[in-house]
Amino acid sequence: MSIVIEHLNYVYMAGGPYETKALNDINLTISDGEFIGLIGHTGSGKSTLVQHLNGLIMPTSGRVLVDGMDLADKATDRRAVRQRVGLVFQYPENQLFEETVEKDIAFGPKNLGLDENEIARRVKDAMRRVALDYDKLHDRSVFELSGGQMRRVAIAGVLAMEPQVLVLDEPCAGLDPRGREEILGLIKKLHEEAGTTIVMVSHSMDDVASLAERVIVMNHGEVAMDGAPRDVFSCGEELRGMGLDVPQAVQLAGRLRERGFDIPEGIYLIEEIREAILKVAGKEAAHA
Amino acid sequence: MLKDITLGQYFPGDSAIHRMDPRMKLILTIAYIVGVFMVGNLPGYLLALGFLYLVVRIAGISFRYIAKGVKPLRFIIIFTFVLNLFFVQGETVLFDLGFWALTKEALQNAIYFALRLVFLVMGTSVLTLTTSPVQLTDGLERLMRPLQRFHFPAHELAMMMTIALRFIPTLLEETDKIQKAQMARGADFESGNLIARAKAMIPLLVPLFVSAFRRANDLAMAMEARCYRGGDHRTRLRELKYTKLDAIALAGMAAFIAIIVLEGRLLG
Amino acid sequence: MANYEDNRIIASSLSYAYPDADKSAVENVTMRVKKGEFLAILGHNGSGKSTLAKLFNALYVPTAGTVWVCGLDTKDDDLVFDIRQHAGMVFQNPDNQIVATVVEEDVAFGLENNGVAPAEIRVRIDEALAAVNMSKHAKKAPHMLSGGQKQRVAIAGVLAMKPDVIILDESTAMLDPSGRAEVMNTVHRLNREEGISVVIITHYMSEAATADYLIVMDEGRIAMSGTPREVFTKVEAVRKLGLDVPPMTDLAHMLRENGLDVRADVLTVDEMVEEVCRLSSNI
Repeated sequence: MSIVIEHLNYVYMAGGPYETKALNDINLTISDGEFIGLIGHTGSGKSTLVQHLNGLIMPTSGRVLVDGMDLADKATDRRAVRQRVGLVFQYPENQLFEETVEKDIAFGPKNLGLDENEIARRVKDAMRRVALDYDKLHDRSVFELSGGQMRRVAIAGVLAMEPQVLVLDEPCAGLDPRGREEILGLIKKLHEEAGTTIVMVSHSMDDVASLAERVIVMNHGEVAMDGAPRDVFSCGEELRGMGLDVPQAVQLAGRLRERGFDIPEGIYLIEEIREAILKVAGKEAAHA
Repeated sequence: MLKDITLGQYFPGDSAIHRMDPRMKLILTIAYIVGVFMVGNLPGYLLALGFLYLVVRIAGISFRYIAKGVKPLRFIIIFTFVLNLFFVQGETVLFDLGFWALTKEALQNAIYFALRLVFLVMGTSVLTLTTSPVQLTDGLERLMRPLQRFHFPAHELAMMMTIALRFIPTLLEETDKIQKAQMARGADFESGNLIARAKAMIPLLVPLFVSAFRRANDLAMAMEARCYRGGDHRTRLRELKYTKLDAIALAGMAAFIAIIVLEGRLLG
Repeated sequence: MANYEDNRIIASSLSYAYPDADKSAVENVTMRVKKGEFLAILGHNGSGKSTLAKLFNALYVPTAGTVWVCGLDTKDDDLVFDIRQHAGMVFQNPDNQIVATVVEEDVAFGLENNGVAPAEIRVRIDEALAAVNMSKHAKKAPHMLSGGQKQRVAIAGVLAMKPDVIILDESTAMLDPSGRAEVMNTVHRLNREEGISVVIITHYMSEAATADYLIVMDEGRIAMSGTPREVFTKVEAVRKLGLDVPPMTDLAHMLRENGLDVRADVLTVDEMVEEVCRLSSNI
């Protein structure tokens, strides 16, 4: 299943005195099984863009095709689209409302009109995927859980829709390092094991660098860069110009290169820079 | 339709009306409404209209904008109009349908009452359009301050109004977000009958209330941390001061009321 | 009691348990915040670090032990408002701590509560807004500002009360990187230029690395303390506490495992560059 975005424009508060162009001529194809990191500073249009992916916002002009279905077409079943493209908002725990964990996760599948057995199966499966113990937690109140658990319940609520594409808007916002690691770990697993297409909006370059296979950079409502992390992160100057950071490994590689060290281009992971430094040190040792 | 409501909106500006002390504006608005309710004949209403028109022009707002503000309230106005037609007893029958007769008195009363409502709405609109919510709360608090002697919670009310105004945009934004998040899980807020729709609101309202309570809790702690201890011994950044402008306005209003009263006696 | 001139906050055998809780959230903590110091308190969620912050501001009163803020005992009811003036607090959610509908009115809030004369309020809010670079937003409505700007307004509100210590209770947790940088730059400048002591509660290692001194909390107790170098060098111990180390410290740690003689206490990219240069010239 793919998502195709053609000449997408979105104007916010059209006609009013505060009219702003939030998205400008976006053309993208998201293919099956990709892991995309979507980055850009606040106000660059990335949140607006992801809400187009499941028809929560309709384009001012242009088209969004999910599996060939045009979202602006009245005949398109939006609920079916929202089932296929799951969207996890920022601080998703703020949307929990049911009395128990189980009921809350079941909300999505229920809206799909599934039968009891299927709903129960999906709840269990979703809880397993986010590493929550069903037996221990299913009848607990969502408001008794820890922050990290609440977030995982909320993600499970979207996973229970069994989407083929999962879009996450800053899934780690506000979590401590352990919580961050847990969430990133389960997203990675979801991608690797279930083959779910992932679009992850993030402010953390290091998270994107370690997970994404493709990086899309938004700036002023436009796609400024789109490519492999290696290629995108090698444009440190441009990224900084857009108010973004580069992973520390990239910074270090650049600085060492300036000092005349033989560090290969395109390095962006800590492990890679470690190898490179070891190689340099080894060479120097051999010369000596 | 919501955006048609001019009542409660602020129209930034720097006119003489804008610069008046909010307390005086509050007092004069009440005086104007009382004046309008004393009017009992058509020339009197024309006078009231003329006076309002003058004020609106000084404030630099288009009169149409004010008049538009009456539109959302048209049903209430029509309702009172009809109610008056039916329930006011009169003698001069204009025409008779057997079970009900339209009398001249009822018609007159209905028209006057509807006009009073229209003037009430327009008069209050002028107040809110020319006074920022902050000034309005300040004005109200200070006008009500003498009542504190009788344990009337003037400061608390003003503080509540301020906090409500501060959090309305935040909660609106939040509502939009929760609604979208639930729609992403297949929730449907638009179709179905009334009961189905009311039920569909639960996934929206529960998180909203939870969030509002959490915010209230946070805010209470933040206020405490900044030495909040109620209204006693509190000072304010902005002191309200009556100026010449307020004196002129007061005189103008006094003249208007005097003319209304005189005119009422003459034509009564 | 120790000298207040040198120590802005002193906590002695401090414990606190929430009502109805069977375990203490803070247990037997002894520490101090020195004059002009920039202190970071680290810890995973639920480690007791935020509770500790609220004890510094008399929002909570110790169940055992004592906190002195600028020499004032937080248990003394009569001193509560003095203490809050000395130790100002900035909270996590930027939306939930701004009271007024106009920026400058919000900055005035604390001063109004303390009965400061209107003319003096005017002077102080202008100074405070200038100190956080928000003067040109003085008349704006708070909801029109970015997260980083809102937090700077909150800092200005505290600053206007002329505090000796500013406590930031996870004030950067909900911000984007540029907002975080705005807030961190602002408090560092206030620390440097005005000599105000700063206590930041955070779980961003990069922020903690900029502090003079670090305290790592776990299960309500102080698990580690020292300068950022001293603490982060113990990579395994830090990880065990559910925390991270800065990427460059991590890299140094890995390189040492590979037998390279880099310093273990590298924190920044600059330092790592120097280390690699030093190494290669030594060989």
